Order: sequence, then C-alpha cells, then structure tokens
Amino acid sequence: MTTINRRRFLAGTAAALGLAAAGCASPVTATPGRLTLWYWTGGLATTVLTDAAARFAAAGLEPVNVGFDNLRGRLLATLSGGAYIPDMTMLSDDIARYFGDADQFVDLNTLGAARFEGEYLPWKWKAGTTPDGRLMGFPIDTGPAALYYRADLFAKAGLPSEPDDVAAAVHTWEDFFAFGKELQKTQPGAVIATDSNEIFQYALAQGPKKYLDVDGRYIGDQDHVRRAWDLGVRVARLGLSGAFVNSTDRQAAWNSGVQPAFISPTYTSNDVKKAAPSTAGNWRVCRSPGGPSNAGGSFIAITRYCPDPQSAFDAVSWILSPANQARHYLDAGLFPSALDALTDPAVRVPDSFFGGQTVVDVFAESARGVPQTAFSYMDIGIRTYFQTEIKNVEQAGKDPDQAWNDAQTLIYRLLKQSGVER
Amino acid sequence: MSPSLRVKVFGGVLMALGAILTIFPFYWLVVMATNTTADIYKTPPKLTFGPELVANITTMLERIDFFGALLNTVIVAVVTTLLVLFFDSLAAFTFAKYQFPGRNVLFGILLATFVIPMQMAAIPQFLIMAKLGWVGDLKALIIPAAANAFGIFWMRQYLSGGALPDELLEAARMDGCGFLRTYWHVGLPALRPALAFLGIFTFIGVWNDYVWPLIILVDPRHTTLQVALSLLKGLYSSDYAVIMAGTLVAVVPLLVIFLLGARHFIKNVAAGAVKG
Amino acid sequence: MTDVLPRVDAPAESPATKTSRPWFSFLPQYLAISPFYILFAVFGIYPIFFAAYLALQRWDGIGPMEWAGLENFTFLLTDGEFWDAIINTLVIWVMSTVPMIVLALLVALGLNSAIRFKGVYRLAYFTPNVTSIVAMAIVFGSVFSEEFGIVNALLTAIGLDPVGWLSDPWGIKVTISAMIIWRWVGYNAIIFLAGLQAISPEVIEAAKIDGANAWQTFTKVTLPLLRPVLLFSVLMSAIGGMQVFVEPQILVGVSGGVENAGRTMVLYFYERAFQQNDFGYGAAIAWGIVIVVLLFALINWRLVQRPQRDGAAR
Repeated sequence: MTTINRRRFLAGTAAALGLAAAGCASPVTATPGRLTLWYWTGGLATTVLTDAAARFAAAGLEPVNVGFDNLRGRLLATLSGGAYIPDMTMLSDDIARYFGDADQFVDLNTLGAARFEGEYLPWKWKAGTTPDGRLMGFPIDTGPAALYYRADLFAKAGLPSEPDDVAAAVHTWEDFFAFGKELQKTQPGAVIATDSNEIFQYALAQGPKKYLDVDGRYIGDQDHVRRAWDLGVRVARLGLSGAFVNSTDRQAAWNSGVQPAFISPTYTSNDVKKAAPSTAGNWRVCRSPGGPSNAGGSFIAITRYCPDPQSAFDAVSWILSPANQARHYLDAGLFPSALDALTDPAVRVPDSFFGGQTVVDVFAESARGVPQTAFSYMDIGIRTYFQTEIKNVEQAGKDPDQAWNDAQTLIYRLLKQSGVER
Repeated sequence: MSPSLRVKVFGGVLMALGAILTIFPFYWLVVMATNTTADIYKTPPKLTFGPELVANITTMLERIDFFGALLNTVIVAVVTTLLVLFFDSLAAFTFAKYQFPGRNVLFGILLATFVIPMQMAAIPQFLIMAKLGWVGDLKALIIPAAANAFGIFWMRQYLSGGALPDELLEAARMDGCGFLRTYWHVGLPALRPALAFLGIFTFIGVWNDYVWPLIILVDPRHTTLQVALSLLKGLYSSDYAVIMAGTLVAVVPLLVIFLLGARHFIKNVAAGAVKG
Repeated sequence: MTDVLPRVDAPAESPATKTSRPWFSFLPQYLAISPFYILFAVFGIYPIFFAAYLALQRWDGIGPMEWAGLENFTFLLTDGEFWDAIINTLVIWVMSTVPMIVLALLVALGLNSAIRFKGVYRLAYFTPNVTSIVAMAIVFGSVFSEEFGIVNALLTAIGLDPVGWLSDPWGIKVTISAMIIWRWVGYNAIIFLAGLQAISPEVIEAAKIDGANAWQTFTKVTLPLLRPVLLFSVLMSAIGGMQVFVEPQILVGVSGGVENAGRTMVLYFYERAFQQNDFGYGAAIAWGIVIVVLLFALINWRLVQRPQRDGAAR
C-alpha cells in the first residue's frame, strides 16, 4: 500500500493555485512565543488556571477557552493545516481516537511523567497511554459511577434505604432488577433506569474488555458485550426503564419521583440539584449494582509542535497536581483522578442535598475499583451501532436477536472499511 | 354576518393563531433568559418571565468578551454585506443585460455551484487559509463570502423580469455612459428593492453563521458573537439561562434591522419577476 | 412570463449584442462578473479537488493518508445506510416543503389583506428566521419532549394519545419537519407577500368584473402570476432541504435517533467523517450527495419547465 506524504500533496496543489505566497504563511503554534493551552468551559477550574498563568508567566502560559463542541474540529483543522496548533490541549474521554496519531503529541514519559504515576488512579493513567506505551494525556478528572436513589421512596416501599443496606440489596444486576420489581409493587410505574442503553453502557464499563483487544482485533461480538446487551434489553422488558428520549423527560421524572433510582457518574449530581430542588435531602448514592465503572473524564496533551515541552509539562503537572485536583473539584465539580485528592478533608464534605451523606466517599470507592480497560480509536464508531440498535429494541419493539445481528453486520462493514482485523 | 365578513374574521383568527404558534419558541427563549437555570429545569417548567435577565446578562458578560465579539460581528456582517451587494449586483446586471461570449456557460457554472455541499470543504479551506496566513483573522470570514451565487442568480432574475427596461440602457448609451456608469446610474437604482432584500438576508446569514467561524477563528481576540456564545456550553452541564440570555441579546439587532429594512423591499422585491 | 430558471435570452437592443467582436472588447463584462469566479476558484475548486483526491484515500483527519483506490466508492454503492439517508432526506423534504409553501402562501395572503397590526405580524412570523438555530433546537427538544412536552400536554388535554415525537421513526421526521417549517414559513411568506403586492389591483378588479368569485380569482389570476416566485421558493427549499443537518443533529443526535429515522445525507457524512474519523469515506459520501442533489435538481427543473412549455405552445 502506498503512503502518500499528505503535506507534500497539499503544498504542491496549493502552490499550483498560486497560494503559497512567500512570507505570509501562518505561524505553526497558536501564539508564537507563548504556551497556549486549549480548554473548554467547566473543563478546568478557572481559579487554578488564573494562578497557573501567574505562576508560569515567564514561560508564557496562556489558557484559551475554545469551547467543548469546537475543540475537536479545530484540533483536526490546525494539525492537518500545520498552523495555529495549540501547545497544549484538553482531550475528553475520546482520547483513544488520537492513539493512531500519537506521533502528533509528545510522549509525556520523555518529560519525566513517570515519577508522578503513583499519585494517580492506575486505570486513569493507563487510559491516557497508547497501546505501545506512550503517555499521551495527563489525567484531569474522572467520572466514577454510582447508584443515585431516593431514600424516602425506598423507605416508603418498605425497602432498605440506608446506602450500605441498599448496596447490599442490589449487589448484582439481577438483585437490582428484583429490587425494582419490588419497588413497583407499591409505586406502579416507577423506573430504575433511564433507558436500555444506560444499563448496557455501565454493565460493559464494569468489565476490563471493550470492543477491540490490546492487539486491535474486534471482540465486540463476544460474551462480555452480549451479557451487557442482554441486561439492557432485560431492563426494558421488565418495565424498569423509563426510555426517556431527552433530558427534559428525565429531569421531570426525577422531580415527580417516577425515576427513584439510576446509575450515573458523579457529575450528574449537579443536574439533579438543578432539576429537582424540591427533592433536596431525599437523595443518596451507593455502590452501583454489578460493581464500579467510569464514564467520562478528560486529559491534557502536549502537541509535538510545542517549542518548549518541558515548560509545558511543568505547567500541566502543576495544574493537575493532587493539591490542585482538590480545587478543580471544589470550584468546578471535576472529580479528582489523584489519589490524595480523593481523601482530602476539603473534598470529603457532607452534602445536604444527599441528606448529609459524604457522597465523595462513595464515588471515590467506585473510582478506585474501576477496571483497567483497553480503549481503542474505534470505540466511538462501534458504540454508535449498539446504541442505535438497542434503542430500536426498546423504542421500536425490534427483535433483540435481530437487532444484535444487525449491529454486528454493520460493525463488520465498518471494520472492513477501516481495515481492522477481526 | 355576511359571508365576506365571516371569511375576514376567520382569517384574522387564523393569522393570530399562526403568529402565536410562530412566536412561542421565541417567547420561551425569553422566558429562559429571564429565569434561573434551575427554573428552566423544573417540571412543569416556568412559563412566565422571571426577574433574572440582568443577572444572566451580567454572568454572560463576565464569561465572554461580548462587546469585542459584537464589534467583530458588526464589522464582518457590514463589510461582507456591502461587498456582496456590490459584486453580486454588478455581476447580475452584466448577466441580465449584456451579451458576451461564454455567457450562458458561465452562468451554468454559477448555478452548478449551488449543488456542492460545502460541509466537506472545512478542512481544505482551513489549509488554504493557513497558506494565506489568514487563520484567526476576520478576513477569512469576509473574503470567501464576498460574492455568492445565490445573490447573482436572484438579482439577475429580478432584472430579467423587466425591472430594467432595455430602453433605459439604450438611453444611457446615447448619453455616452460607459459600462460602469450605466451600472451605477441605471442598473443600481433599478435593483434597489432586490438589494434591500439580499442585504438583509446576507446580514442575517453572516450574523448567525457559526460552523466555519468556529473552526477558523482560533484567536480569542478575534471572535464573533456565535463563536463567543458557543463557549458558554460545558461538557457535563450547561448554564442554559445564561446561554439563552446571550442568544437573546445577540438577536435583538437583527430584529431591529429587519423592522427598519422590511418596508423598503416588501413592496417591490418580486415586482420584476412577476411583471415579466 | 419569466421563469426562475436560466433561459437563453438576448434582449434585442442590448448595448453589446451587435456583431462578432473580439473577446477582449468584452473585458468590462468579464471583469464585472469575475469576483465570484475568482473566489470560487480559490476557495471552492481546491476543496472540490481535495475531496476528489480524499475519496480515494483512507484518512483519519490527522495522520498520513493511505491509498484506497475506488474502495470507498464501491463501498458507498452497497451501503444501505447511505441509501436510507437519501430516502430520509427526500421524505423530510416533502414533509417540510409542501406544508411550508402552503402556510407561507396563506400567511402572505393574510398579510396582503386589509388586516390590522400588519407590522406586528410581519415581525412575529419573521422571528424564527433570525434566531440562532442551535438555541431554537434546544427549545424544540423540550416542546416536543415525550411525557412532559407542551405538545403532548395539549394532545392529552383534548383527549388524544400522546405521540412519541422523538422516539417514533415517523414522530422524529414530523418533529424535524415541523422545525424546518417553523423556521422558513415567515421567510417565504415575505417573498410571496412581495409577489402579491406586485400584482396590480386592476388585474384582480378586472377578474371580479368578469364575474369570478374569490376562489376563482385566486386560482386563475393570482396563482399564475405568483408562479415565478413560488418556483423560486421551491427551488431554494430543494437546495436547502438536501443539506438539512443541524435540526436532526440537535434533536435526536448524530445517528438520527431510533431506526436512524432522522439521519439525513449530510448528517451521515458528518457521522462518518467527524465521528468515526473516516474522512476518505466521508469524501466519497460528499460526492454521492452531489450526484443526488444534481439528479434532484434536474428532475425539479424538468417538472418546473414543462407547464411553461405547454403554455408557450398554446
């Protein structure tokens, strides 16, 4: 197979069009002479960024908010255009999409990152590492999941309502579904899942395997995915899923008590607080049925165009140090990935919305138990097909086996098109 | 009630109902902008105006450089609109009133450009801008948009439709007017209603454009309103009241411009086409 | 009668139609039309060539390209998802354009009658077109939300069953169409209004004197006179309708919701290129879209031309 040097092609065609006028080409990095850091609103605490800009003023640290929706498009454009590339950039949990182009980023291990490794959650550290061992992203936050539930409604139904008791009662997925059926006896119509997809995603995230194995071969048609899929289908069949189509319906269900339980990452608590202020004091969180899992969480990467990667790394490792991770949590609600921050007394404060429970402890326990998973650059593309097909089962009444087979057929096509072995 | 009166009343009621339906989402935008985000999230949601507009706007102003972005947007919208009006009307006048070799082929090419989906163009266009050194510069928005097929097509139709009788051109020629002067003194005045129409819609389009500006305006000092507003969104949750307040403030200038401009074109805009 | 589509018309007395002159004597004319072509050459043609080149590659948007030959195109031809996206696009276009034109015409007639508060109405019907579409999609999402949206609340109030606006394949298409209609009725009404106002009152009076009733006047006089303006609207909505993308993306997500009911051609392109990192295949899809739009435009053109030719033959 021929590999064509794209830049040469681009330069050639551009020159042919008479565009390569000498002397007016754009600079390679976003702000020459300074160290630009791309972030998005709420992605890093502004208080920490302000301090960092002052602390690393000599190195020229300049945090720039480019917006979450815009970051990927801009990063692709600037990297392929070879101009205005940020020196540092945030990457969300889609970081694996960039693993194929790891050469565009600095291997942080070459800058001495290894000495920090022990300070962070091991699975999170690995999630920013490419299959061949390059550290592409330095950990920012995590999204450990837990079961959110309404203690008052559970108690009313005569069911366990204290976090430890509930956790024991819903230890496995089957326990959880039985618990939901029990709840429905006194509260008809109550649901314990947002939709099939929620259960499918978290059940899958609780295991170490995803869609591609470490060697890049497809394993999405194997038992671990099928088990998660079956759980997603079952929750709908049992009438325990709300099948909510958007956040409006879901939030309304929190308010009205129609959804007295759901599994979600730590950051969903902000939405619950905003959406259902009248339910304050009644919510609790406990260990998720089936075990710990994670959804979401970001990284900072340094591009290879950065002229001073060592200074950039010093800034990044300071911004994301365990002490500052606590501030990111307190000021912006970003759940820490640094071990010390998880036990920081400043972070471990009781939350009155959750009846004075120290929810951080529950999420921290989940965070420590998240399995190490091999993420791949194909995950998002593959996941889409499962999501659509399981939605077809739940909302359009499609036969689950048919839907599973259709998903696999479409994924095989996608893999063939992308040149992935299976 | 006479039949015609009945039709009138019925029609009036329909018009009012339609207007209410049309305005409702906008009304809700205002409701969201005047309440807190928690109120928006509530079920049932609040349907009445709240007292939070000033607070939301203040928060919005703290988070983004609204006035800087407003100034840039005004510059881009005004300059682009003026260039479009000039280049498009000149081309339309020429296509409608002059015969020259290759005219029909050239016009066909122009029409063909309508069918090209430009979504694909974002990355190659960025590459061109990088070569030109225009990345992050307002030029990158203005120049590529300075002439467009829609405007030329629309105004050529208008002129071909009889808005500009050939006798007038003949008279101008007799007076010894050259090409440009004929355009300026005969073509442009005849095009005035069409210019008002095209001007308003070009202005609105540029004002609300965000796909291309989001990619090309990488420099936070040169940003437009839609780009600035897009920064308000977060990954895990967003402050919708603040976003809606920003959207509302950004739309007011457009409504004012429409109010001022509508009179000028509604009367005559399609006159040429219909009379033809 | 003028048509909206190009025709070979050479005004007999045009200043420059006399005899065969050397091409450079037309320099002012070429210069006058040149800005569009220059800009298109620089900012349009290069992206098109780039897309053509890209369609023969495998490329994730960042790294080196890999030659793929015609693989992307052969894949496209057998890609059921793309064919479904074409059908979705056409269905949504019909579902949105037909009601939109009828409603816009009604609104224009209303605005053209002796109704009070004309200025207020004009502004009211026009607001959707100036408001940022992203913000509006958020509003629409909650208006059409399943259990707590206002639309279903109204349906329930008058004794009907609630509809799965965002969870039923047809519900999704209706919701997307409703949003397009809502956005463009006012715009087209204003174009129609301008067309109506250009019809001289004498023509209408004459019809009435001839004994035509209101309906006959409308169908026999007003509509034919409005034809060019109507055709213009249909053509523009056809071009716009083939590129629908933001509405479904925000209402039901990049995959178009249940059974991919809201997945339009451009949305599919976007999903493949930006979501699945397959820019080579994305470029092939873009070419597929060009061909569909071209065919669609040609069919439209034929349909639009025929009545006129019949008229001319009479």
